[in-house]
Amino acid sequence: MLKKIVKKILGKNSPERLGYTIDLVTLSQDGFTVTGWYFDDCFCEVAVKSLDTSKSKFTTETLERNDVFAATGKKALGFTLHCFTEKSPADFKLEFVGSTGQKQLFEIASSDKDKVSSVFTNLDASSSSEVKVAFEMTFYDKESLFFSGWILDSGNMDSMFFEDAADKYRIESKDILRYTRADVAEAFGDEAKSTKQPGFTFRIPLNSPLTARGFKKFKLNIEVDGNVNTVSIPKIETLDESPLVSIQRIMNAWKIHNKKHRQLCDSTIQPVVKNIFPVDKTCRSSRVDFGLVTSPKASVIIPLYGRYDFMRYQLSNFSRFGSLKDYEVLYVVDDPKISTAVGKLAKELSVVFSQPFSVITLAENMGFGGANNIGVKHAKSDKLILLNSDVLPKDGTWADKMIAQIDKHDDVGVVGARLLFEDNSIQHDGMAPMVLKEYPELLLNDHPNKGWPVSLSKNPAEVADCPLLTAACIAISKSLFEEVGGFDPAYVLGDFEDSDLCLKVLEAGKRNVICRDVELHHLERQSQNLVAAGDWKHKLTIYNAIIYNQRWSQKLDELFDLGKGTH
Amino acid sequence: MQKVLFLSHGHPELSKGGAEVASWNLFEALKEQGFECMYVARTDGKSHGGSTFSIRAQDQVLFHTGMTDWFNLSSSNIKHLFTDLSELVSSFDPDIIHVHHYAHIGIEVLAALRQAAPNAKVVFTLHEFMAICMHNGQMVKNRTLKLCYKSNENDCHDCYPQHSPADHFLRKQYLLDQFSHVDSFVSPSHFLADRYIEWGLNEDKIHVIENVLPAMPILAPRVLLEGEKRTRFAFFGQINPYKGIDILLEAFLKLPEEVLGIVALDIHGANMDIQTSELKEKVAGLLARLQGVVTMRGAYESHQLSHLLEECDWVIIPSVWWENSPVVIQEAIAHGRPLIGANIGGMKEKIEGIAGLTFDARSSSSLATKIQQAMEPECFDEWVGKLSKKNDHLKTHIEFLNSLFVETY
Repeated sequence: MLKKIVKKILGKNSPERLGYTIDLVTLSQDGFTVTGWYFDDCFCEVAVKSLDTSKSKFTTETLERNDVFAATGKKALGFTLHCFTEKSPADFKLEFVGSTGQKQLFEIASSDKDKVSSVFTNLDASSSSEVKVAFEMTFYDKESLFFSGWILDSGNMDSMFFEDAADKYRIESKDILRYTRADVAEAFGDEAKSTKQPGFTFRIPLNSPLTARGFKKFKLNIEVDGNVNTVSIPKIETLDESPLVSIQRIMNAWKIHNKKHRQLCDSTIQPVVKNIFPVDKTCRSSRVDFGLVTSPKASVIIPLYGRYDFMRYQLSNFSRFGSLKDYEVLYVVDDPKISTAVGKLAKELSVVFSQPFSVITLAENMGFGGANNIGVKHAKSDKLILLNSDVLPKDGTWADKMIAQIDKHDDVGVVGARLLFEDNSIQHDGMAPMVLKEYPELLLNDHPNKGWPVSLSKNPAEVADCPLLTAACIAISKSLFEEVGGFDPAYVLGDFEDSDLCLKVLEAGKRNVICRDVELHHLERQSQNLVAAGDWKHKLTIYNAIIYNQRWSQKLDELFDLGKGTH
Repeated sequence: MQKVLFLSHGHPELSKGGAEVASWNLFEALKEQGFECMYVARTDGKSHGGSTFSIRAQDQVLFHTGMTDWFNLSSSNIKHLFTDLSELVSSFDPDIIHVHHYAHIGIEVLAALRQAAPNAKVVFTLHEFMAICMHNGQMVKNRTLKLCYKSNENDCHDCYPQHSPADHFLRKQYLLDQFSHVDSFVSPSHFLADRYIEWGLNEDKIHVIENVLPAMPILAPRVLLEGEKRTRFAFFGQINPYKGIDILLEAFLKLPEEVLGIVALDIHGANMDIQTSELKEKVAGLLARLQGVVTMRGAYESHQLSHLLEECDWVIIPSVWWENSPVVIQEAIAHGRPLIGANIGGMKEKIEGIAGLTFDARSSSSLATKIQQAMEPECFDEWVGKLSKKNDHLKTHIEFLNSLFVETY
């Protein structure tokens, strides 16, 4: 299996010679995204350069590509580069920077001509024409096969089918997601003109795992205008690379601005993502205590991901104001990359600051919800405060005030707070559903009055009912949190699980409140902006939104009276 | 007897910054008044046998440590601060801890001192805007060198874009947290105090007390020949881009020819050699056009100061940053020499209406006008007459220290 990949990769214009490979170029509303990888020893940076030498705005994310390493024995870095532009990818070149600073420019689209998996002739009643097809991603996870690539079929494909052991599988064109491919159009010119949407993505559920023979010698039949052609697909990947790599590649083959793509999310995308991020995933955790609080008023759970220096600012703040003197503070390190550094910093901070705290280290990245759920299991108190690491309180009374709401009122479920940006404008004053014109059928979470001066808010600084609250800072009783099942792990990498929790608590017969007399700073990261981003994380947000709407759109409609056209 | 422990970021015999000199002068003065004092100065150098401390005298300890994070002004050398320094401090058992800086040491030193001596009063003297402004504590914009009137996380991000506004916010909150360990702040100027109050320090905790100087002789005015004017000017201090040496030289170039023929300027400035080539070239170009008028006298030791001041009529302080309370102003006043200073910040506060003339900061033509005005003997005599009123800053400082104890007991 590996040998075959090597052979394929080492073909003409091989990455071995070039030092890089472009897996996919996809268009989005605000630009285009290039996904690929390069060898560590050839290059150290990738950028995009406009041919007219104007400055290009782009963002890059990199990840280790263990799959490339497995196939070639050389270390490679995967990249997802998103360029913000109205122009076509053909107006740009990729610039790779070598370790000594030398720069090389490469075409973004041209390599597609070399990626053709198969060419067959379509014998249509009126004429015969050549059909080119390429399979760029073939994922197999025992329950299904997931394909994406492109085909120059003039839009005439009827179905694809194959057999394995006793099972026959077929997918009709109505169940195949199609999309434009600027890179393919560019590479094939006139030949591609009759195919408006060469790109395809589909998933075939399996009755039973593939047989060994079916896996190794996989053949797919493609039916175009009634003619059947057989294509062999030598490279079927199993999803054993890093989940973050898999999810990025899958998201790139899913076009969220296309309504059909959103509608078929549950049959095409969700089952594959569920296997990458299984909902029953657990992981080992270890705990170190730096000081102890006996019989704490509540347990404060703070996940750490990426930036861990926030610990310093928070512990300094808690120590200065004494707000958590009698609370159990649990940091949950949800990022194996930082766990060693967190351990070292924690030791330092425990000497400098009086606030006792504990560090729970997770063996794997569990995501925001998963990390909180594990933190809750460690909580000694029967009351919880869930806090983001980038929240900084303003005084010493916030925690007591929030916990008092749970203590005083049996019917209160989730307690939230008024959160402010660093310039003291509103970051969160309670959430509400909203609709964006790009996704008219989806209810998303809005933060009304975001960025406003507090003085313009019509909400007085007092406790009020509020159904939806951000989990950046909430209080809830541990028993209620566990009764409703905690944060739902179906939401991938942290979106909507807070409003989902709030709605579950309402369903359990409680009411949620916001303490607008409690103000904390929340230094929300700009990357979470829902509208501007065009990359895979934004797609993941829409993925999570679809799950959220499957569950709650009706309930939200009742709660917020949306049927009457509020939005 | 009250025991006072001083902490400075440098020993004045090794590094002559304003904070080092001011803390040293106070250390010497308090010793003379009968306080039992210990001076702990941070140093770069390696110590014997890897120990955290070495000494220069029985009451002068060198603290071998360093800062690890210049953004947060923070140190990861936890053992140095929370074990080594802590043991030394509790052994000395001070009543007052007089901290003059955290630079090169780490802002966490305040927490360490508080833990080491829970009953001592921690006094912190503000010397510049380092906690407020990342730009060497100058409150002058990075790159453009424009004056900055107020710190704000978005404006600070403009100066230092590698740190997000949120990070600038966190830095500030962190420093304010650490300053909460301080019982009283001393600011040598109202200007500096006001900036720190606006930034977030508690007004009630700040005391404006001028730096203490050693006793200095009042010098008689230079004897003039018949018809001679007050034409001898001098500059004292470090040379760097914030000190306005270029503006000073440009002002002399703007003097009318007949005036230029009779004036003289002595520049007693250290560190010209370590400046950027840009500043050096500019100064060299100006000096070339002022041959016979300006003399570069180089660095001086404090014991030479009286003698050097005796040679001049006026001292000029043309800084382009705000300054706090420059020692040179107090020294000139103590010796009976009036000043011409820029009309901003600490210079305006210490000179205007008290010790001489001020000019529009950063304007060489305004300075040229004031130089001509100052040459008139009547103007000089008027300001020298006002200088003779003496303030006893040491007495004020000791009263302040005693008031800390009144609150305690």
